[in-house]
Amino acid sequence: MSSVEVRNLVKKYGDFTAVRDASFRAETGSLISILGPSGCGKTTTLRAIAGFETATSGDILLDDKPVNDIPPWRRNIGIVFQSYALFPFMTVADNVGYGLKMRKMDRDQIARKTDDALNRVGLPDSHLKYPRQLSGGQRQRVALARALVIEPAVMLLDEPLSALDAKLRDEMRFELKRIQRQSGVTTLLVTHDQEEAFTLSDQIVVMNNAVVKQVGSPREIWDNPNCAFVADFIGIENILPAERTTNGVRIAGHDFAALSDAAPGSDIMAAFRSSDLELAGDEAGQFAGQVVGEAYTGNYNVYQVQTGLSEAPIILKTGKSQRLSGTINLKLAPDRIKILERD
Amino acid sequence: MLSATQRNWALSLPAFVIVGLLAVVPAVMMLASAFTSPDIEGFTLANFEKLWNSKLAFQAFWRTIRVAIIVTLITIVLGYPLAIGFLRAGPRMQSILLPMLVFPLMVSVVVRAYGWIVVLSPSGIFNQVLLGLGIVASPVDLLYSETAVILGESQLLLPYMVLSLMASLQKAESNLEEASMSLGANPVTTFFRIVIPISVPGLLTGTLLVFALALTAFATPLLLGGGRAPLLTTLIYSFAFTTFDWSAAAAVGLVLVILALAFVWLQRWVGQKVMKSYE
Repeated sequence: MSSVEVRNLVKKYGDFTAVRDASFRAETGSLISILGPSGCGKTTTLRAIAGFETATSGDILLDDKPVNDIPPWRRNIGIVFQSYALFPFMTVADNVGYGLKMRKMDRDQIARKTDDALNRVGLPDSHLKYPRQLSGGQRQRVALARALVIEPAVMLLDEPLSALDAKLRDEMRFELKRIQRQSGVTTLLVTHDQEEAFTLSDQIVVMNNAVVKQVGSPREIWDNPNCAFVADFIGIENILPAERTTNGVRIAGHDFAALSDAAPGSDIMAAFRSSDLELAGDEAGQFAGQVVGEAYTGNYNVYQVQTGLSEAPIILKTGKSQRLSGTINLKLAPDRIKILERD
Repeated sequence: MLSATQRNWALSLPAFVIVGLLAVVPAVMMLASAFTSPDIEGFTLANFEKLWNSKLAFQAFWRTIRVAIIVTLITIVLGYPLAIGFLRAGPRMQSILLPMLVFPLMVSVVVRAYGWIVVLSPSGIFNQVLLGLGIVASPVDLLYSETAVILGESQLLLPYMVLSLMASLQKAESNLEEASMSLGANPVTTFFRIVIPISVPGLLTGTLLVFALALTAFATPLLLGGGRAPLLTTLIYSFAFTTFDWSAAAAVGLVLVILALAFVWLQRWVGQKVMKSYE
């Protein structure tokens, strides 16, 4: 097990830059996610760590030692591909034992370690089956066992849950975390699913357009996204252009108190969650709006409210028993307004 | 009204009649004539006895098998790098390479054999180069030999092997090789342990195609092997059109058919053994 660090990684294909100056670090034994939409450079970063892509510039460090010149087959990295990439003509046991065979271990040792790895992933008696005879979830367990059994310095997971159906996905999420914690292997996961990243990770690296936008714990990113992209990506519904004032923000001429250390007068984005808007009742709110759309989502009612803050309606969420219509007064607590850099 | 089954039979009847007349009847007649002789009443094994005692026929028999095996091996050895190189090439390169790969199939076999004659003849390009470089003192006699037949057929049949291998390699996930390397196998080990096994279905198809076509090739052995290196096919030709011994020709034909069927059976047997873990 090792720490992993990506330092100023740049990857170019001709004129196209897939990764631009990416830096982050995963401590030994931790689970870090690279989160971003497709084409953001997250998979390229993962492949560079595995050694399948050579960095145009920058370094990949395992345990603080650069590994740029070490080929993939000597890096000791376990990978679980999105498609699992199990060898179709080998049995489950042969798949798992492949890496041990490459390490020239003797038969008994391979058999013992294979048994152990398959037990760990909860597949104790599928040794002689072929991958095609397994379900999606079982294939993934085999892929995990195959990556773990070599006791890799780092385990890389490429969209590990995306090929599974919703129910199995929830189950495997817990399994993945349990297996990672038990083996204690440093793990880097690439995903476009923010829920997956938030529930599994110690640290999240948010990427967009080849650039690392933010690095932080799930809580830090949830509470303090640093730019409009991250805010939008983690599902903050209302993101509006604003201007910084001495003690708050001004959105389309309306002044709001807010907590921030940005310089007054600078152009920023102000963001707030649909669930952080409060109804002001009959007492004067900070702004008024007209309900123009509503939707029921089971636990919540979601409303589109036309206000003076923006041309498009803002989104408001209420409890399921609270129904709104007509003109309503709204207010926003100062600590609920997030100040973001403009992208 | 006819039932559905009856209608289906009625509709396919003309096809059956044509196939029957054009394929089955001549085949049966050939089979029958292999067991007859103008000198003897009724059926006889005299034709086969004659073949059995003929040195020429024996040589042709073994040469046919030898040529087919060597040609198959050559196309396998050359086919892998070509198939892999093709699949690794970018889309633009592939659009240039594909016609180059398939184009030879559109050129007449005879034309290609003449191409080899130009290359291999005593005054041909190959000998010119050897003489020019001082490697040989007098032209090497390559034309009308087994070597010439093997060269010609290998070039002729290579596309079949490449296309078969490509079909199975293409189906394999590209990540399999990376998975193998991440588990500690270098590219050479990965090739032998992952790429080759993955391509086995294509290899079996390609081997069947190339071997069967090499076994039954006629124009190439006739033009490049001539009378000096007869194969079973050219032997049939010379029996039928030089000595007009149609019964002997039929007997050789039957031997060739049995040889081809035996190979198909062998290929299927190997296939079933190996393919168990693939389906």
